[in-house]
Amino acid sequence: MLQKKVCMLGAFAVGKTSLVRRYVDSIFSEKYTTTIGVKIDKKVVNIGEQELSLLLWDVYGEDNHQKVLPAYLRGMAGYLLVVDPTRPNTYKSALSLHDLVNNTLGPKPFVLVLNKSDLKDEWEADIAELQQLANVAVAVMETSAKTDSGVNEMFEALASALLPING
Amino acid sequence: MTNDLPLSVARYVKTLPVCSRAMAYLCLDNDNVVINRGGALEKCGMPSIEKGVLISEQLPAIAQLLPIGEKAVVLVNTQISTDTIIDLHLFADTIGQWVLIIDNTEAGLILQSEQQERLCNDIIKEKNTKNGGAR
Ligand SMILES: Nc1nc2c(ncn2[C@@H]2O[C@H](COP(=O)(O)OP(=O)(O)OP(=O)(O)O)[C@@H](O)[C@H]2O)c(=O)[nH]1
Ligand SMILES: [Mg+2]
Repeated sequence: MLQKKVCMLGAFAVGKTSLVRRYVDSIFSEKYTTTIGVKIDKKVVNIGEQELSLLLWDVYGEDNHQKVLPAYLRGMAGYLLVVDPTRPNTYKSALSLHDLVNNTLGPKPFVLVLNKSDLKDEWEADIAELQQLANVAVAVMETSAKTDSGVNEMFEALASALLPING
Repeated sequence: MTNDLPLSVARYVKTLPVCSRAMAYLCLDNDNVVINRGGALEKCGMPSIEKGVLISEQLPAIAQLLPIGEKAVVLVNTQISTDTIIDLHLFADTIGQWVLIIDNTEAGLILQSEQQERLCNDIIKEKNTKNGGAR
């Protein structure tokens, strides 16, 4: 079966791990447990007639003290670039991680993910700041790991972009 | 794994911090088939690696990192579907492609607690700035 490495990239605490847990184990926790290094999970996804095994690399978030090391991106086919619109600071990390990918591997397909849509009344960041990323993303999706909104769709949107042409 | 070394060297190596950590290795041929394996595989969270089988069928996460070029690849604090935290070192020589696995669970858990504390503080600071800024 076709296997593809997909990375979860974004600032700390945007919900990368929560999105993977929701997708793989159908669970959500309010408690924040930060990721160190990377945690790798696997999930098989069916797109039309095709089966694809996604290797989900849940990488630690970027913060003021540590940048994501390019070694973790090795062999990556595509990525989910996650922001938390309740925290405008997370946009900067998304932009710098997008640059990191382009500089390390060259452009790769990605879905721009606006997570925590259950807190939409607290979304305050100016989405226009993300326009530049939205223009080059294969899709822009709103998700909530908490209420399970848009999560499967987000992974499937990326998976479709990773299938061989005519998939 | 230090059996082949002169006793003095082996003794010295044993004093290095890395040596108190469990280590295991895999050796792959150029078709990415496991041709050898050994060391503390169980302690490193990968008890069932078999010889003669493609790495992509056993540890697909590692298969995605191949082939290894001239430069070694190092991935610290990696968890592959287990709670064991390992450091991965991948390098190639004339014998094959080597995957060195070093258990880092103990230090990893400490790092996790430190990072947790730091980031929780950062979130509180962010919230305070936000509320202050809104007023
Ligand atoms: N309300 C709400 N909270 C969420 C959602 N997704 C994640 N969270 C919360 O946000 C916090 C951080 O979630 P994580 O999934 O650990 O974030 P992360 O991006 O993996 O963080 P790092 O590993 O530190 O980079 C946790 O308290 C989660 O419960 C969501 O969709 N809605
Ligand atoms: Mg995480």
